[in-house]
Amino acid sequence: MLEIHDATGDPGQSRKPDYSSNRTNGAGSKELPTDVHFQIGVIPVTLRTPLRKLRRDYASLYDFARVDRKSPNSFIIEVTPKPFSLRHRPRFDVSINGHLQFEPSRLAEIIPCIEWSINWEISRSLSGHLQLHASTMEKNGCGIILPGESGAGKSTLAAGLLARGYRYLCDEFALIDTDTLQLQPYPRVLCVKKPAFPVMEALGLPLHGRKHYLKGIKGYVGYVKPNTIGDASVASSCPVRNIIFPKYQAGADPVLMPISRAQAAFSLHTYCFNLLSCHRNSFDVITSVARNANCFRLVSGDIQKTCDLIDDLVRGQSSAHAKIA
Amino acid sequence: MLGKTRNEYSSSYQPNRRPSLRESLLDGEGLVFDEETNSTHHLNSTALFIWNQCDGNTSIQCIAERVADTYDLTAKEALDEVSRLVGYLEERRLIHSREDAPKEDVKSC
Repeated sequence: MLEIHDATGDPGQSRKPDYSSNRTNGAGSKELPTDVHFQIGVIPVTLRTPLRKLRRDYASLYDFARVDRKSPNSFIIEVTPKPFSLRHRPRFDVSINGHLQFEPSRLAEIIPCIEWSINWEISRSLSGHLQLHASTMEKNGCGIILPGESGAGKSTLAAGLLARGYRYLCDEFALIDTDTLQLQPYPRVLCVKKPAFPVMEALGLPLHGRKHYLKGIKGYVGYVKPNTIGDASVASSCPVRNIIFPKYQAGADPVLMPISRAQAAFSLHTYCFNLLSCHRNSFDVITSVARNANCFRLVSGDIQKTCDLIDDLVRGQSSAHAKIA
Repeated sequence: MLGKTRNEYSSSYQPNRRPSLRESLLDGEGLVFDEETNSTHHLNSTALFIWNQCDGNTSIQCIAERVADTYDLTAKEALDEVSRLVGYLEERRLIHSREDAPKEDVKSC
């Protein structure tokens, strides 16, 4: 009869390693000729590296976000080759805002390390936003949050919806402005694991340059640029209207189960990266977001059928809204 | 789900919510956030019904009677459910433990 659930701690924070005590390599704010600048949604990024090939590759991935000038609050990512040593394989230092984050040994590892570093810096420094581990999409001005652990199918689902004309916000973070409760875009390139490469092919979403990158224990990944479908495929900020918790189950027909807003808010706490460091009380923000949203759990194994189901849901909501209006 | 812990309480025990908790009501269900432990708790409507009466002035016996009336349970079933929830809440320090609870006269139902 009684049901009560509890979630403890700040899992997002604890998952993130704290490298802040590591040595720094002196990132400065002065602009250098080796800098390239980007405004990826609400996240300004400057890549500083003498590696021309890396600059070219990163700039090509983020051509839709390239800007001419460095923002004053830019995340400065430095990638520097380590001095050559006969005893060690070649290595690179990847640091963000002066904090050394990774020391990859292969070029194919660097971009995933950059993406990870940005994630880390977002969770460390963006206290004006509630941060959830989720993909986020937009349709008809309404935001959809798809929270889930790694492997839940967030990115694949985001790609499936992108291919159907939904607009993209992010495949890793739901960034919610704590004052306006609006979802903010951080349209980083979609990161796709190797098993999902054929799915992307079938969706008509080519991997950037057909290249494979190495992302730690996740193995080979590829990137899909959100502007593959068109320049208008990146959304601007919007209110949250649907919260859907996806769970991938191979071969399963999709089932969308409504859940209570309290259940959804409870689960959102477990996916929050900055429960403790959020500028406004995260409990208030999460409950306010859930209060205005429709909430579901989704079990699915077929991307097309799943997208059909979500399409039906969103279309139904739009027509109901139109009738009320 | 609730654990299987079965706490034996005196029927005159008056469970009392800790005042420092943040609470929110969403569609008839409750969320409780404990800033000391950074833990969030979800209460379904029945648990919320009981939670709201853990005010330090209402005895377990009295809460159980109200639960029995509202949810059409026998007195024993209701007392079991209330004791179980109170045990759970006490374990998680959402209500004062019996030792800490201020001693007051039992209010009649």
